[in-house]
Amino acid sequence: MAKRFLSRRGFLQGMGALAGTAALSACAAATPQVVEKEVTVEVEKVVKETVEASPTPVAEPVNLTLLMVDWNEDCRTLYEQEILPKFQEQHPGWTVTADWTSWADLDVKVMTAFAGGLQPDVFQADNVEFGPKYNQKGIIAELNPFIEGDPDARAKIDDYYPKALYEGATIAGKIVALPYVLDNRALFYRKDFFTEVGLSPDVPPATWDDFRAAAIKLTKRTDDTFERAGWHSDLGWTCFQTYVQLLWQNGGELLDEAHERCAFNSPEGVEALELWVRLIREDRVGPVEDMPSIGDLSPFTAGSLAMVFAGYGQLLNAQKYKPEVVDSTGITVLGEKQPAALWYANTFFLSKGKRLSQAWELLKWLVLDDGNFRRYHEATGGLPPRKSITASANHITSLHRILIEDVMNAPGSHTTPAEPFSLEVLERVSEACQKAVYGTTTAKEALETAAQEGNQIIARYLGS
Amino acid sequence: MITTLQRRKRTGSRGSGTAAFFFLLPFMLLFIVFKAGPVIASLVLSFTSYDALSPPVWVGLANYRDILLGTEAATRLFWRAVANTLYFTVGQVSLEALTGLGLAILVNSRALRGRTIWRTAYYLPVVTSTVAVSMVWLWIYNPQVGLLNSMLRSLGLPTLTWLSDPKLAMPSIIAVAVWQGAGWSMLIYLAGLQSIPESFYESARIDGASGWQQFRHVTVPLLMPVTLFIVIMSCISALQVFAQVYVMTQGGPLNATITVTYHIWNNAFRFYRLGYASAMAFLLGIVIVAISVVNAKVFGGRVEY
Repeated sequence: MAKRFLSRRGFLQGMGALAGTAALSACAAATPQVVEKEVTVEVEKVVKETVEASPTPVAEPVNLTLLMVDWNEDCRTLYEQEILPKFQEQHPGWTVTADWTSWADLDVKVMTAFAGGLQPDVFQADNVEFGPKYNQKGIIAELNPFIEGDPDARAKIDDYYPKALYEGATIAGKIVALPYVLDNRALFYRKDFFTEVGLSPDVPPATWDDFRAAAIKLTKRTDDTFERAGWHSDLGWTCFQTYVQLLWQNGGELLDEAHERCAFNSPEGVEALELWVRLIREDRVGPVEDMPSIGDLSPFTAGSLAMVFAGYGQLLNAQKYKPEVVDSTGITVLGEKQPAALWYANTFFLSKGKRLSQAWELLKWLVLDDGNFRRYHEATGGLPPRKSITASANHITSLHRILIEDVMNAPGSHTTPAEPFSLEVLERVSEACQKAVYGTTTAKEALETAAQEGNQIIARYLGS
Repeated sequence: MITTLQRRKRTGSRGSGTAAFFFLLPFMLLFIVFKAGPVIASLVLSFTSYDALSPPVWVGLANYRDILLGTEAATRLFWRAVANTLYFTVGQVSLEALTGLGLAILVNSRALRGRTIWRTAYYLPVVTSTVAVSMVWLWIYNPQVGLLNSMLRSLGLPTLTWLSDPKLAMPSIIAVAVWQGAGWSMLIYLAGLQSIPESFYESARIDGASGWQQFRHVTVPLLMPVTLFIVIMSCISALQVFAQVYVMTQGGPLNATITVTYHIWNNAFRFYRLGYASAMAFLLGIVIVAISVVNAKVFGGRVEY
């Protein structure tokens, strides 16, 4: 392994020999032939050793590994048949082995890979969940030196939506990843149902009062049986995603400014959860229980749900299984004290390792090459985190633009805090939502308990 | 003085011992590498703080103390998981044994036509992947288009939210486990039933015993060793329930289906607390051994051969 690198001794020997050769050649006429020959042989020997030891001049085999989590069959075909082979053509001797996993398996896969020293060189993941932990352990690469040393990359970096890069992929001032997709959430509403109940489809709810009134009006039920829910949110462990939007709309925060204590148990936070509880338990605009998909159709696509906080997955579902629903879909950023929604930037990471510079080349090829990146998004139907791709990709509609630009630009919009403890704390938030909505405790009590337990979790991570 | 015969015997026993060693070697190697080794490693990890990304740090009994006496949410959830796991175990083991016995009697009946087909049909779920079974049951339990609610609707009965109702979720998961596991206990009971000599029933009939009395006083006592085996093995399996919970409810709603193994997985692979999770795994192991011993004591005294 050591022979791959140019050692200091080899370099000095080489330089010395070259300097000697130059000096000798300068006075060649006065040099006896025999000395010249000896020196030439010596120089050839050192240069040969140096070249053998150096990594770049010869095309040494490089095996890069890529772990993909956000993909579909079209994307996989595109990568396997075009994008990756072309990269390999441009880098003779390099091979890229792609591994295609799912979000459900990602945690276990990435953790065991790192534990076993078999980490992928380039991998997709959620920055909130992975970035802070991996950055804290020093196992992912800081990208600033690569970006700063590469004028092309610098230019492309400026094309990113600033929040996506500098909040969604930056920790303590260091860019630790490059976003590849935005997974923004906002309020989706069915315009056809708005028309049906006498609401203007062009005037979506702007405040909580509007929202509540619309939800009540849109609901169709007989006792406990819902023909159509006015609004609903599932209560799985990710239900914090609904709560944080209401929290931010009401001017609340998840954590205090120093990120050392929970702040969601503030009056704003309690009001936010109380709104949810009131909608479900008093207004009965939707069932307490989850609304599962109906076959392939999400409840919104199927027409059993009129309003929902959702992301581009909902658009894909409608496009694929019931395209006419896309025309009846509206998206808006709701607000009470301020318009706010949740945005996420899912990111590509580079593992620290011996192939870091080659891995950077692959990463550039995948997300900074305009053509490749646009085609990736056209295949997956995602929300590009770069402005020029949003402007040029075929699949982008006005709904995608609202989901990208209106969400990112809304004054109260946030992403979840990039802290190693975020996931554990957010799970406590989800539990509080479940308790309150199921009615086992009040919103205030549920949030107080969650904040207390959240503070203990934060203290464990901070070592206090 | 060692005679030639004794020498031969010794040589012979040494030779067969060597052969036995080599026959056992492949299993022992696999056992050490894939079972004993990880168990020992996990035991060591349970005394450390370990996140798989940096070297483990020795913390002594801190993980065990935190699990049992801590004030964090993880401790509260651990005890909730223990209660849920015991609920699942009692429900699954008792229902599976009873269903298995009923099915075994049914498919052992000479009056039944196509017994082999019935036996195969009831055993099929046992050899089906738990994840696949859980996915199918997710559909069956679907409140809108699921088979169960369609049946309830057609009977004019109110529909139920099987997996979203905190009171119904665990019984629904138990039902899936019983449906999948009953074929296994049926098979074991069937072997037990077929090993009871017919003469015992003849004697009972001569003494005037009714069908129920024959079952109560001949079949049940003589199946006691089989029942002991089924209960112990089912308990060990039920206490480790994971796949159904992972696929169908993820521990919800309101932690109504969180089990110890799911809580272990959550802490190990989502929160990177592998030392803490290893300690929980060992506590679960101790509980499994304790319950197996209690089962053996309770049922063992009533075994009739």
